[in-house]
This record gives sequence, structure tokens and C-alpha cells, in this order.
Amino acid sequence: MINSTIKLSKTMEENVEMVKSAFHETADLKDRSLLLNKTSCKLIYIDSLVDKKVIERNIIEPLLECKTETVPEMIVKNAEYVRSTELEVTVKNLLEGSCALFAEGDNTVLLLPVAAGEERAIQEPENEHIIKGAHDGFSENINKNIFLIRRRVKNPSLQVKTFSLGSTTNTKVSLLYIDDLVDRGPLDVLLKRIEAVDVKEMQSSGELEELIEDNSYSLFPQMLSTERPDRAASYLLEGKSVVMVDGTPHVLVSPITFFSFYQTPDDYNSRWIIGSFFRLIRMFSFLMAISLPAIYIAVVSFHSEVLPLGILYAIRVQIEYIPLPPFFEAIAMQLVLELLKEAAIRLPSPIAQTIGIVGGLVIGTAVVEAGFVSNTMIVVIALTAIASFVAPVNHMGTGARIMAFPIILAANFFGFLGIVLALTVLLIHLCKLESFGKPYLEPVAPLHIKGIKDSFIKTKKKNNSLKQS
Amino acid sequence: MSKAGSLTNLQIFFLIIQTQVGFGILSLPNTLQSTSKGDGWISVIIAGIFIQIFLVVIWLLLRKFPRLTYTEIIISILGKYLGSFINSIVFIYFITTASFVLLQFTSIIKEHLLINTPYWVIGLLMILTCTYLAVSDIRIIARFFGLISVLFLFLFGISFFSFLLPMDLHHVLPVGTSGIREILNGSLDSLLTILGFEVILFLYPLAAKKGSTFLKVISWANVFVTGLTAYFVILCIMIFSEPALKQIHYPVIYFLRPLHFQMVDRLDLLFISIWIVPLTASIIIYLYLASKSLTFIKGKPSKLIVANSLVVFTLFTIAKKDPASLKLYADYVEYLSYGVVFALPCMLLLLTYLFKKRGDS
Repeated sequence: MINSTIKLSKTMEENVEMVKSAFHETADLKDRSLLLNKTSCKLIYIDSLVDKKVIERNIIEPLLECKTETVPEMIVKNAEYVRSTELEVTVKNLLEGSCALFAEGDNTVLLLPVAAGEERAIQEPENEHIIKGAHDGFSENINKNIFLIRRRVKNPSLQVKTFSLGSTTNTKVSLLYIDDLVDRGPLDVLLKRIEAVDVKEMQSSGELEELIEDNSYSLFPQMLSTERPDRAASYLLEGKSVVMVDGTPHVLVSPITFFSFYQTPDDYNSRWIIGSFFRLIRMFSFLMAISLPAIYIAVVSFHSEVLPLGILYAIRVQIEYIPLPPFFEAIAMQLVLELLKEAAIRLPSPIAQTIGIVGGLVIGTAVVEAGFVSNTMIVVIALTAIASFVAPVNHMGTGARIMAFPIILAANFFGFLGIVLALTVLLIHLCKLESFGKPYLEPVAPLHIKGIKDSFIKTKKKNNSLKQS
Repeated sequence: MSKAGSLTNLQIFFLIIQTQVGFGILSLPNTLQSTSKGDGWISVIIAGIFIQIFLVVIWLLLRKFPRLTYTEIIISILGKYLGSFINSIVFIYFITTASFVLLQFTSIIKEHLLINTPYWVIGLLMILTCTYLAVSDIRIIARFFGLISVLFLFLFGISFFSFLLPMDLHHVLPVGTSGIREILNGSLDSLLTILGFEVILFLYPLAAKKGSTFLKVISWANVFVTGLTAYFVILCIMIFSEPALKQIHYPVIYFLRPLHFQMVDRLDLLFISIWIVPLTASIIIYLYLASKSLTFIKGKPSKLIVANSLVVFTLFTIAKKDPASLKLYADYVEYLSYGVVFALPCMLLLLTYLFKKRGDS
């Protein structure tokens, strides 16, 4: 790293040499000599980071045309500039896509941002589709992301705090919150943790999440990552804060509760009864995803008397000739499902469809006809898989499928007792879990009747001041 | 939200009812057959009134020491040595109660769900689950208790199914046939069932709203628990005839047995499975309270609770599991509870009046 105390000198050539050696004489560090009012100047920039058209139009052209005695910042057409005497600042700005203008006999440098704007256009996020509502999504450019938020929340109390994390990558990280609304306690915790981050590299918001979350051993995510600006803005308005990492389209919302992972912007854009109905369906799907195979195993291997004779007979007839115990059936089929998912996820979509057909139809049918797995088990596992994919946030669904394994194990050894105790442990874990000092199960445990209105279900929105006539 | 470290009224309410409602309610109608029979529900209500009086006594005592826990109150009134001695008796009470609940719990699991699994395996699973929560802060315990109180709705829901069964009001009528003496004896039996309100002894310094609000909360909790218990007792009395009720150990579970549905038979097994959770709640709170009453041992509270769990598990393993011994243990716990829960607070209150002690000074 560059020593932060190094100051620039009065000789231009010396300064240019210092910058060049700071960059280890890299090939894409370009310079161009200029003459401004008989003073020789040098413009330095990193070729790959800057937009050359902007340099020509905004800097070189006006400087060359200038005939009067004045300082360069009065002439250039850039909206902003920085003057500095320090080498470290110069290097940092060059890395962010500025160009540096050195002048002979001057121990300061003029830094002008001219970063190239090569980036993805605003698109709808692939993994957070909605039916009704805004279709824009965050991109890899942090300024564009802040713009998307600012356009939705036009309020002077929206605060942006910027950090530079990662001693090697110098990644820009921004923290957004609405000063009037934000919950101070969790915000202070978040600030303290971001400031304490000390790593070499910071590539994505996922890495940052792992460094600042409360409990990294938990399967439950304690920050919500979303690519949707409307979602992020609505959380900001609820008094939560949003962390953006440059280079990642996912922003992190905190503090978050369990129930937020089962909400989507669709709920707010559709009729409230419909929204509430689907919220309840999603919550139910979580319970189903973690416990359905376990309940099936407990029923067929321990407590078959729970089922009436008719249903019991239908199930018994099928599993009588299966060589494997239900436990192995369930574990094997869950693993097959994970394999199919992993195989299909990264393949181009035409091949992924083939995998779906081969996996779902061919294996599913053949494995039953071969007599390895019972039909009921296929139904149970398929339902579990579908239930786990219902979760609007992908992490949560995957977490639920992984949680199903220990519960299956408990059911296999101790029947209903095993399931109930395993679920109790899960519930205790959720009660213990906190997201930046806020309880994870917030409106339910500790109980707030008012909070329930917007967690399990979604109630009708009321007008603030309009008189209802 | 209230400030950190304090419990809301609702949380205190749930903590009390979860501690009180547990195992006892399942077998109470059967127990009452030996005394008040068809008038069992009157016994329950009398027991509720009796407990209400004690709640006021305890509240009067706690109000004088708003910032001290029960253990510290005992020390400050009785002095260091006598206080520590009394505290260890309180500790023994909590430990034995926890072991006793664990014992009852495993016996019911073994009877209905897992017939061949040995006692110690079931007990170990249970105590591990309980320890996992008991080591945490009381606010986290309160969160959990609030959450599982949803199960009471389930309990009510399931009780409505019993209306499908033939009921006979004549089992209750004529009111008062057992005589006052038997009814009072019955209420002594009911006391053991709705024991658990002693948790308030340790809750007062943590309550967000003290004073008369606290009394209101604990009174409502008492009304709820007494009402719930009386409701189930009267339901069982109406469903089962007297000789049948004498034979059935767990009438509240048993009345679900004749109910059949299209998708589910044996509702009783599902009921027991779900009832495991309130039972863990009782063990959890007793483990927690036991660690609170051992102030003279310095050390990390979480380690203390793990040690307590170990003691509870050992007691549970060496205890005899036949019904006669269970009855004997029940009597021990009952006598101990008279001393610790009823006599001790009265005595302490009397002493504070005599010596004019106050916690504020």
C-alpha cells in the first residue's frame, strides 16, 4: 500500500514518476502532455477506466482553447473536481476512474471524474419476478442503485453513508436510511459492525453479510437481500436500513424478521384479501417443507394407528414390497431432488428442460416401477420440494429443505416425539435469533397485536387524512 | 416495545399460564374421583379462589421489594445464613418439581407414543431440549412461551369435538352431593394441578409495569387457568360415568379416542404429541428458577443451569417408575410445595410487618 503521508512535490515530472511507480508502471496508465498558458501540464488516467470522449470534450478541448490567465478548474466542463496534495488520494481517485492533471511548479493535483459508463441496463431481476408492480431492478453500479432509491423516496432525510471496504479491492459500500424514521438501535449496531470490517477483499454483498450478521451458524438469513428497488424503498420507509456493495445487484436490508422472507411486493399491489391469502399459503409452505416427509415417516413406521383403515391400507399395500425402509427412501429421494436442481440450475435453459424431463418423468416413474420407492413417497417428496420453492427468497427455501433432513432423522428414531422436539428446538432457535439486536420473530414473539396485521396477513391500507364520505 | 430487560404484561401472563398448565390437567378429573366426584369443578374453583388469596399475599410481599428477586428478599429478611438455608430448600423444591414433571412426561409418552423406548432415552431428549432454552435470557423464554400459547387455541378447538360425544348433565347434578368436606379435599388435589404460579415470585423485578397492574395480570392468569381447568373437569365428568372415570388415568386424552374422522383416527395421539410442548415449558421454567434461587454459588448462570439439568436428569433416572412410586413422589412434591409456595411467603410477609423492612432503603 502507499504510505499515506507522502505529499506531492513542486516538480511535475517527479509527481508523474511517483504516480507511475505507485501503479507499478502498469501498461494502461496513460499520460498526455498539454500546454496551458505556457505552463506545461500532464494529464494522467487509467485507460481502461475512463471515457476518452469525455476527456477530450470536457478537459482537453477547453484547456487548449483557453487564452486567459486562470486556473484549470475554472475552464474544465466537469461538474465536480477535487484538489489534493496527497499521493494516496490521487491514486484512489485514479482507481475510481478520474483523471489527474498535474502542472509544473504546482504541488497540488486536480482530479476530475471521467469514469466510463459501461454497464448493464436496468432490467427486471431474474429471480424476483412479480405479477403486478414495478419491473426495474438494481444493477452492478452503486450510483445507479442509489438513484433508483432516491427516485422512489424523494425526501431530504434520506441519508447515504459511504465506506470503503477491503484493503486490496477498495470496494465502495453505501448505507442508506431515512433519518426521521430509522430505528436507531439496530442502525448503531450495523454502523459499528461495518466499521469493524477488516478484510483484504470485498467482492459481493454476500461476503459482507457473512461478516456483519449476528449468527453465522444459523440456517436462517439475518439480512434480506433483494434486487428490487421497490422492495428496498418500502423497507427504508419502515425504518430499516439498506446496505449496497458496489459490483453486486443485491442490496442488504436489516434488521429483518422471519416473516419478511415470506412477503413479496405483489401482496401490496393486489387486493388485500388476495395478498393475505397468499401470505398464509407461503407460511404454511414453510411448515410443509420442513415437516411433511418427517410426518409421513413417523406415521408409517411408528404411529400407523393415526390413519383410518382405508387410507392406511392404500399406503401399506404400496410400501409392503419396497426393500428400503421409508427413512432411506425419503433421504434418497430428497438427495435426488437436490441433484436435479443443482444440475438444472446452471445449464442453459433448453438443456435444463431436458434434465427436468429426464429427472422428473423418467426417474420418477422408473424408480417406482422398479419397486425401489413407493408412489406415496414420490408424492410426499414432490410436495415438499414444491413447498420449499414457494418461498419468495431463495435462501429461505433452500434452508427449509436442509432443515428437513434432521427432522426426518428425528422422526425415524423417535416418531412424533422426535418431530415435536426437533420443531421445538427449531422454534427455540428462532426465538433466540436476533437481527442486529431485533428479535427475529418480531411481531409474534415478543407479541405485538398491531404488528401481526402486517406480517401473517396484509390488512387494508387506510387513508391518512382524506375524509371518508 | 418496552425497554430492554423488562417483560410486558402479556409476556408475564403467558409465562404464568404456561407454567401452570401442563401435566396435571390431563389426569385431574380422574384424581378428583377419589374425593369430590361430580362436584370436582367446584373443587377447582375453590382452589382457584384459594390461590387468588395467595397471589395477593405474594404481591403484598413483592411490592415491598420492587427491585429484588425472591432469593434476595429471603436473604434480606432472614439474614445470610438462615436465608441461604431457606433458599436451598426452595432450590430443592424447583429441582424435584422439574424431575417430577419429567417423570410424568416420560411415563405418558411411554404409555401412548413410544412403548418400547427406554425411559432414560426419552428423558434425555427432553432435558436436552429444555436446557437449550433454559440457558437463555428470561426475555427469550418469554418469547417462546408467548409463541406456544397458540397451542391453547388448539386445545380449545379439540375440546369442541367432544360435543359430538353423548354427554349427560346428570353426572354433575345434583350439585353438592359429595359434601363440603369432600369438595375441600378435592380442592387440595386440584391445588397441585394448578401449581406453578410461584413463577411470579421471580418475575416482579423484571415486570415493566409494577404495582396494581401486576396484580391485575396475575389475577387474570389465575382466572384463565382456573377456568380452563374447571372447563375440562366438567367436560370429562359429563362425558364419562363415575365408574369409568375411576378407571381412566388420563380422561382429557381419552375422550378423544372415540372420535373418528375421514383423514385422522386416534386424535389422542396427535394431542399428546402437541401437548409435549407445554410440558417442556414447565420443565424449562423450573430449571430456570432453580438456577435463580442458588445465588450463593457464584458462576456463569448458563453453566449453573446445565448442572441443574444434570441433577434433574440423575434424579429422574434413579426414580422408580411404577404408578405407586409416582403417587408417592406426587405426595412429596405436594408437601414441599405447601412449605415453599404457601407457608414461606406468608411467613416472610408477617416478618416484614413485624420488622418493618422495606427494599427501597
